[in-house]
Amino acid sequence: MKKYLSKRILSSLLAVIGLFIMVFFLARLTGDPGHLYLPIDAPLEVRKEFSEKHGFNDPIYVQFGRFVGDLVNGDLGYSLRKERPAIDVVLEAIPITLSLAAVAMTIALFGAIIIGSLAAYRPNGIFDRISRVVSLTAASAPDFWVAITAILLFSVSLRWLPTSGMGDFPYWIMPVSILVIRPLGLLVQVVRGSMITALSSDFVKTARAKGVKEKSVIFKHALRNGLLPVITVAGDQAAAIANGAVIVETIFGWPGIGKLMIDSILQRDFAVVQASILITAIVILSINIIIDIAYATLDPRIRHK
Amino acid sequence: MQKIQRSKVSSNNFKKILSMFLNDKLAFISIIFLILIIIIAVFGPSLTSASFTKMNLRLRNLAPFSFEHDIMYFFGADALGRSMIARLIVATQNTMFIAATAVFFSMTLGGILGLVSGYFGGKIGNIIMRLADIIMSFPSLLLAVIVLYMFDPSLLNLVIVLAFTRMPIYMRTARAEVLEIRERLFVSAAISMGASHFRIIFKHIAPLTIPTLITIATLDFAFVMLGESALSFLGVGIQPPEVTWGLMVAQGRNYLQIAWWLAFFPGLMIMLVALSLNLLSSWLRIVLDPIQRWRLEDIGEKNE
Amino acid sequence: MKIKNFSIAISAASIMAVASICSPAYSAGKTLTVVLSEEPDIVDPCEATRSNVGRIVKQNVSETLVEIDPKDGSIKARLATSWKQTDNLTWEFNIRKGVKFHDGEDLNAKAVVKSINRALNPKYDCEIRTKFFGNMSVSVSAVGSHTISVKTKAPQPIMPALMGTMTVVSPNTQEAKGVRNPQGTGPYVFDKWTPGQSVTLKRFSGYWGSKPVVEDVKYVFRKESAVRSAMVKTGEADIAPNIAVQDATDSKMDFSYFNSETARLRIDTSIAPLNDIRVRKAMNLAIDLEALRGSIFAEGVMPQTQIVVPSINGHNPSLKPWKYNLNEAKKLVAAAKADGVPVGKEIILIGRLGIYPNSTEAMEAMHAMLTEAGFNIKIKMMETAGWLNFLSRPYAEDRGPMLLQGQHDNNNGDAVFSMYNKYACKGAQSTTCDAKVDAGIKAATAATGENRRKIWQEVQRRLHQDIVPDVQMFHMVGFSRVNPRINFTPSISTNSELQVSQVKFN
Repeated sequence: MKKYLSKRILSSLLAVIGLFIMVFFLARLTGDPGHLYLPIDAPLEVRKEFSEKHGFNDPIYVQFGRFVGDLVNGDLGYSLRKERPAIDVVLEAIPITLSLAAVAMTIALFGAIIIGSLAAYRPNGIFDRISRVVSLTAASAPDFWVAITAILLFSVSLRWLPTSGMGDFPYWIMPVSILVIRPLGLLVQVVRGSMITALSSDFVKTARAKGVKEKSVIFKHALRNGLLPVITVAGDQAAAIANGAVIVETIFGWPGIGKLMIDSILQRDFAVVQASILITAIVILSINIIIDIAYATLDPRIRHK
Repeated sequence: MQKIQRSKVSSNNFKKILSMFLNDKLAFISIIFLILIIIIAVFGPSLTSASFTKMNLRLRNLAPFSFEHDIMYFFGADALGRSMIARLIVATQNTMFIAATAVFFSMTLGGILGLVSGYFGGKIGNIIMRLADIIMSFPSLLLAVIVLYMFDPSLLNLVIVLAFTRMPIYMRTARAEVLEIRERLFVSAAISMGASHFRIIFKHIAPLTIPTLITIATLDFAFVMLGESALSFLGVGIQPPEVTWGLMVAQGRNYLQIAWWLAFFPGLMIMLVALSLNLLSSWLRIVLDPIQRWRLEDIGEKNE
Repeated sequence: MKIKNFSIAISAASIMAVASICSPAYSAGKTLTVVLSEEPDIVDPCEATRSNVGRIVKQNVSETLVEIDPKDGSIKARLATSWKQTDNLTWEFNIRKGVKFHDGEDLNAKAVVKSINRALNPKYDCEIRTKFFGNMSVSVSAVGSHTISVKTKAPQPIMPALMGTMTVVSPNTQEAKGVRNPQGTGPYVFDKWTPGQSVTLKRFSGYWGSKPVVEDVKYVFRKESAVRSAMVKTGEADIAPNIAVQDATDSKMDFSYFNSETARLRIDTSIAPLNDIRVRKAMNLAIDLEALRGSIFAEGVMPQTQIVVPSINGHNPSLKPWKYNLNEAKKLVAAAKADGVPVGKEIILIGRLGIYPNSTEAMEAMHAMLTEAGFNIKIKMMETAGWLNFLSRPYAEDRGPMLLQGQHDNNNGDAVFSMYNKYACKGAQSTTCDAKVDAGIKAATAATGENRRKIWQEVQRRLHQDIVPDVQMFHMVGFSRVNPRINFTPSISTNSELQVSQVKFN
């Protein structure tokens, strides 16, 4: 187990480094940040002076060397636009996205387990069909469109919910719901599939034969075994939910990491782009490792390897 | 899409498959709908008169469901007075082309890489899987945004980016399948008979992984379409005067308060196609799963 | 079965619960909530020329020596009570007495000199320097307790207008670095900035001028225009400056007003076929501005003849906009073609996403109209960063013929802020070169009074009639939504500042 874990962490680390190098060069190729930092009407002399001062004129490998040097000293760079260390900006945004994603993922997971199990109870029954079509339809709509329509409906017409922004409970309803839709649709199908398999397995038949109550057959016996593949898929959704966060945060004005990354890419704020990519990748990989551990502890076959 | 049909024809059990389709009404409706969409994508644009895709500011934001104008304006007109129906037809071709090519390339490349990784294992296998990890460890949307800012958001670049970001799923699936197949007898038999690696991978192993990969591809097609629309929302998707459903939704969102139909109809198309693909994919999964297949076969036999 | 009923009951109950709890926070009392399209990166008053910074700090937190009247470009006193030119190269400003900064410091000549030098420090890339003082040599000194003198190497007849951009900050402000808690003399004190969420200001009890009505101001940020306008409608915000034309659907709360922006397509006059004046004239004749007005552009926009708006010194009111005439355009194209001009060559039309509302649709429409006249146009819509690569020098050597979607904002009172950059042979964003225009720009920059106005007007005439370096489009209008509970009329200056002290409650 220990060996497996250290190997996993090492390979994740390599993945982060690979991603990082790729992003550094990709970002540099998108153009000189001075163009965007300076006002449109800035004279040429000012532009030249700016690029020289901040080293944007240096060959790209020199910039890379300088950057690696800073990184070794624990310095993730300085945001020119915000005039703050990039890491501060990123650490402010991360918890917001994490809490948004955690709430959404928890709801999606529990919702999927309940709906999926009920659907698996009678495959192709009426509940199964309806839940399948509804969950898949919801998951098939472009999320930005759903978001804006929801604002116009629930905030402007019905006046039930605030339009946007961060705050107490009502402010969470729309962003979280929109973030939930897609993973929920997917996870319902996964739960349903693995529950169908579990329900037709021998030990469920044995339990039924013993006269165990139907509710407890589904939610105790079958579910425990049907849950393994669900955990894996839920882990893969970690990165996918970050995609949703980009859209949701942009529309609802949540200052999370998704919005921060899009804004800093648009503004060529390289230090922030790099720092946020690094932190995001570390978070996602950590989640994956935790899921691996959870999986390994739950699944005897892996545990013994 | 074409692949599915070809494999359908090539299998001799056409009748059996048809009856399995008929036993899942949702899947049956889905496949009919998808065939219709493919026909529109292939022939629609050439049959649509250019006058409907031309700007006509007098008909700007024309409301849908009125019979006062040509039938082509039944779904209304967009912000430049172009017929929504004509725009949707032209967009169908682009959308289908982008999604189909992206899915095809990510399936083929990802599949091959996964096969190689699973078959050879060791260092090569590990390197390939780390590549998958890198792509997976980062939100694909942001990766796409970075790349599309760097290059032009042209049709080709869009396809490449979408294909690239969807690859890991095929890599992982193909690898997992191969690991299992490898252990089976016939592979070691083929090796002992002196078959080359190339031959074993592509002649013996690959055909067995294709059904699973196609099931995933069907589902992925929907994701690619949604990804494309999200990129349009962020402004780095396909650029006018080209048009896709995603771009139509993205542009139409600005008019939601005064002309809901601009975003609604293309959004509906995306939803319907994605839904059909999802239903088809879950049908495929049942058909390909020996444990569950009876659900569709049983009833069929009763009917016969 | 039981399980199903149970779950349905639960979900129904939870939906009802949610519907009953939710009552969004509406802005109330003496707090004003303003919703802006983007959050500033930094709130240093030295960046106040950026509209998202200016709308928060300019004249609210930090004031300028003089103010430019948005209506006619005239100059009014603010922190300076009077000013005069003492010789060709020197201006003197008398500073208002009895003014305090938010941190308790006195406003005097020394403080103003320190503040100006801070803004002009080459170690700090603040926008006021890079935009207005970038290639100018300025030295400032105190000549009395409340008098400063500003000397330049070259004559600067519009120094007072330039000082209208220069925000004054407390002498305790950190040098060579943007600050996140600016201290000025304005009617509002910078209170708190919660990154990503809001910026708040509080009324300053020691303000030198009359006491404003609004006690607290809160700025929030939403990217989508539909969301911003919805917020004012639901009462979550009071003012949404700059919403899109299609969101301005409520005549009771939506104001439309001319802003200081002009829209055009810049023509690269150095490359065939655009180097032929007939081609450039044909392009102007091919655009049906009346069809665009009230459809893609707002009803109120005005066809445009030059890059500056009427309130700017140097605007030439006698020029006539181009009239749509497709036949005439086709004739000109044919004539050019007969002389061997390659009119069929592919011309790239570079657009910028969101440069103004419906910018993409506008480019699609221009594309359709130019194609109609016989041009071979290809649209390329870009994000700001990509577009900037084409906007300014150095231009690519091997570039093809190109049109560039542009919008220019000059609300600083004089044409000088536009002309050199856009039309001089060496101007950073110029793709035209004419000796007479160059000479005119040079003469006008050094001239004063009526003479200055006359020279500018001649330059505008020559550009419009003899050079045709743009496809002229519109003098634009802006839309702002204002909640009926407050009394505030947005104007041309709402583009760059939003003086909370002018807001009253109804």
